[in-house]
Amino acid sequence: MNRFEVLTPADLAHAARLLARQGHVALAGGVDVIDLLKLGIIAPATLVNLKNLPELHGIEPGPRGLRLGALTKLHEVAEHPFIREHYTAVSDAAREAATPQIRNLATVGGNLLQRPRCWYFRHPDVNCLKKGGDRCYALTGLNRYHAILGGGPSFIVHPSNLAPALIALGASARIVGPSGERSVELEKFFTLPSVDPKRENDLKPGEVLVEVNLPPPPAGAKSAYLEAREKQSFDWPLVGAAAMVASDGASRTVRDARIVLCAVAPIPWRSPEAEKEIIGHPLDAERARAAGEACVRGAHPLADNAYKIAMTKVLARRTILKAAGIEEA
Amino acid sequence: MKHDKHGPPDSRAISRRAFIKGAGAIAATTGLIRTPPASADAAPDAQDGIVERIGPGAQTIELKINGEVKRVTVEPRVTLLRALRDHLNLTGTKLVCDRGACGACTVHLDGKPVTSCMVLALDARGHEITTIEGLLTPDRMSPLGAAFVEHDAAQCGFCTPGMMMSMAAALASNPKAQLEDVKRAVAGNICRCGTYPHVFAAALSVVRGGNRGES
Amino acid sequence: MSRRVTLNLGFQGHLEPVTVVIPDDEPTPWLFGERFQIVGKPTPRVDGALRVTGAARYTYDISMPGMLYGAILRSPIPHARIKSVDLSSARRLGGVRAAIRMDDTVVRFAGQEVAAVAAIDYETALDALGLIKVEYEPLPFVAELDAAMKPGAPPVFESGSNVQRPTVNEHGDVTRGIAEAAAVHEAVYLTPVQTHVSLEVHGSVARWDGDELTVWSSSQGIFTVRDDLAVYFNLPHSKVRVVCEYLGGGFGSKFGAKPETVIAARLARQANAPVKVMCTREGEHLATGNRPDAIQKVRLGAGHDGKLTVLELVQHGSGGIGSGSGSAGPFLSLYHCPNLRTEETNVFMNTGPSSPMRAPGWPQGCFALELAMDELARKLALDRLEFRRLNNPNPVRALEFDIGAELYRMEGKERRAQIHGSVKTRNRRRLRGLACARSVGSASPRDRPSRRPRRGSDGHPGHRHRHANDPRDGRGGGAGRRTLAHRLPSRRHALSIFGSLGRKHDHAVHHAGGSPGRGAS
Repeated sequence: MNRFEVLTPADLAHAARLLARQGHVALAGGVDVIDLLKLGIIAPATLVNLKNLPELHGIEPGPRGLRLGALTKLHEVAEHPFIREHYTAVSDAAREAATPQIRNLATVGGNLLQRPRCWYFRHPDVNCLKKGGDRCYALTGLNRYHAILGGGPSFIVHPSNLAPALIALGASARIVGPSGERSVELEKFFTLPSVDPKRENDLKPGEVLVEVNLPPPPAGAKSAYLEAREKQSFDWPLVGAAAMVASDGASRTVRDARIVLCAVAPIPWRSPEAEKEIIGHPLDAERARAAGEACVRGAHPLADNAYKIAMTKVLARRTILKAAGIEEA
Repeated sequence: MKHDKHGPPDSRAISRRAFIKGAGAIAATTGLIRTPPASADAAPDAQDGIVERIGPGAQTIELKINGEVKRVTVEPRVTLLRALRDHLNLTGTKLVCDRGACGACTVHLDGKPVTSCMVLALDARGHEITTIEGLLTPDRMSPLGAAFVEHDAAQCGFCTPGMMMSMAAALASNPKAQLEDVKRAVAGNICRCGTYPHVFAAALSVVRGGNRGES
Repeated sequence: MSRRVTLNLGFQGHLEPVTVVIPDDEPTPWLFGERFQIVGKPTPRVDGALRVTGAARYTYDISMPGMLYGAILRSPIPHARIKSVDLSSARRLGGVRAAIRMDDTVVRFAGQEVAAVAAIDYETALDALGLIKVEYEPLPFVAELDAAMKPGAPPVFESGSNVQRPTVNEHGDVTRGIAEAAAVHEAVYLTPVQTHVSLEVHGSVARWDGDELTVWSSSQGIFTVRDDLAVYFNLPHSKVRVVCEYLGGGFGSKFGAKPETVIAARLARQANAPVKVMCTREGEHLATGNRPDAIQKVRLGAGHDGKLTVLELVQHGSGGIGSGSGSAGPFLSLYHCPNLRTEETNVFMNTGPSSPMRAPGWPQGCFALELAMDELARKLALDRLEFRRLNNPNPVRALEFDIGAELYRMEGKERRAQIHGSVKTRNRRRLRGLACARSVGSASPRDRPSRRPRRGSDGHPGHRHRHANDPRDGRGGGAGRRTLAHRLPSRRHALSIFGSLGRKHDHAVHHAGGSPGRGAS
């Protein structure tokens, strides 16, 4: 870890101005930044401490939905009764993330902005595409944890498990930068490597992710998040799936749905194909199975990760059924 | 911590080595690291609205550890774990993975378990820090500590203080914890000897009130 | 003077009287079924409270006035000639007190130690590592077992082929065994490299007092560390003292003075101050040992009667730049077979050296043999346990099979529920496994407690110390030794558990013997 100084700005505007400078990196929960510092993947001269900015704190439920400050800890999200009731997928995802100790440190913003867990990216001696090198080593190398959808030229998977759940519930991000603020649908916030392999999102230098806003869930909507891991106690997901299903009570006819996958693509991967399979139909196990199949239509597995296709089908089906409150036979 | 390896000069994108490359003299090196790149907008603090500037050199900070205020002089890059172990000789908190993955360095920040290897020491200012030494000692065993001994929940013992910190926090917030709860409580603690069943049994015995005695 | 005693020897259901002659000054051996005050009863750990409260001092926890922190620079490339190592910039960095390069001029694996520094704190040591300039001349390398086996693979050592001479064990005739078999199972079993991952990394604190070296080492074998250091520094054993109070796991990887320990001692000598060198987790994985991988070609055949007619293993494994990857143990000792052949070949490649890991070779061998036994049982339509019974040469194991089968049947569900909670399986189908292995404990003579009388630290000439190399990795050695000490004739025996024999004894923490009960430490 290189030497650095830590600056605490007085307010958000100054934080943005500092972060616009070369060699300045934001410090919030610190979990990913400290990891990258220890690996020598980043070597900033200055960390800009965001923890005392009031705009970034707080969970505010209300009639217009829910506001999650970017500095909200994952454990607060996991344990919040309002989130548990109305945004179950978000609560589940936060609960599944990392370990109790990390959930007490890690923030919503950090979870969304963390860099990929790819072992080539995290290896200090490997100059991969994401670090300005000329190729993605996963393409021909060890790629069991890499992308089956949306890959190329980089084949990382996006590590955030909160993002798919938030996107399934229609979240947007409020971002403040040196020249003002903007709001962007979270779904559109993440960017594919085909746009720019060096980044995973649309946050520009100097911009601060201030909060995530969730609209009230559609009438009759329920949501769920499930993930599969190699080690059950704690691991990054092999595959995750978030589902929001809004249906009419008696007929079970799905009026609205969102299916968003985790750890299968370089961005949180929304599957309109899967949504189409269930919207307008009464939901049952067969419909859910068809949606699961649809999720991986067009998937391109690499040498070692074809298992993700089968896993995604099953997990998407189970998540849809869980969201809808249907017991699997 | 990736300190003991450096690549051939052309193999790294952004690295400490690239950062330091070519610096022959100490002054030049430390100077390069110490200050942000010189530019017109590297202005004095007041205009920048900076309320605190700390480092990169060592600075004395105050940490409230086990109820006492301790002063420690560390660089900003020093983690809470290193500060506890190397600077305050509180070695019950163990360094194992140094990446927040194993839980051996678990301490409580305001009563909540956190991995102290992933917290900068300066970020622990203003919080109540509790280490294993503040939780119990051989002369002042807690019921949970006594249950750990009674149920032989430590083998080599290197993970055990971290397990204890996680479990103590979990039982404090949920005194009626069941097996699934105690398992989740130590989901972030890795034991290489395989003591988990004994750890669960120890914790559940305390929940049941089956072990209130001192050992 | 001696006496004749008749003992009931053997094991449950197979006891027979044997008359032996015992010297008068030795106690009568324990008899089958004899009940004791201490042995066979639960004994609490002597150090349970110390481990649980974090008060136990492991090597990583040692600190002393003036102690420096060391860090190791490792080669990032798997095979290279080191043309130069420039330590001058590192040495000039404020706070750096020592900098050394390794003796080797060739690195043969990524992660091999190249240089090291000691500084007033860990962070400064890291900075100093970044200032060391190493010029490597890269050489061809091979880092995968099948590639290393190929003719023309880059040689790991200048002296020749990567494929070493095989070790062959053979009796009977494999060809005949195949011919006689009613069913043959043939398969290749692959196992990967595994690392020990002791929670406490390898490392040592070294301190010189004149020409005497004291090393606190995270070690399972303090005597082996002492011997290696004595050789390296050309010192008599009496000048080297090695201490390990508590050990955060070793699993076989922590014997002898490995590079990090020598580095600590070299840095300490150069700096004229105590130095602590602990590996990083990454260094631990790369360089401090591993269980070799293996490619095992297995042929097993048996007759209609279920008796094995042939057992064949052709195994290749790589201990990286080390050796000892053989896995034939189970093939040579679990089952009776008239036609048996094992061939074990170690292959060098440019990866870190292997080291013993929890029954070296056995997990690999059992994995191959026991899967093959299951497959062959299926082909013969025999019960898997019955198939093993039919080929079992050992009466003790026959009894163990009975016990195991009964326990599995009676307690399996209950025990698993107790340990794992209610295991929810989606389709309520439980998967069951069955396998056979054997375990024989052993200790090298030097690791046994010395019985030489020595003067105790309290100056009483009559105290007898038993200096035991007891790895304090928490397998209950402390409680066990206390139990042993209890049986010694005099209460004035003591156990010195922690330290190798040096000139002084004052370093050792003594556990007084002869006081049964709890919490005596």
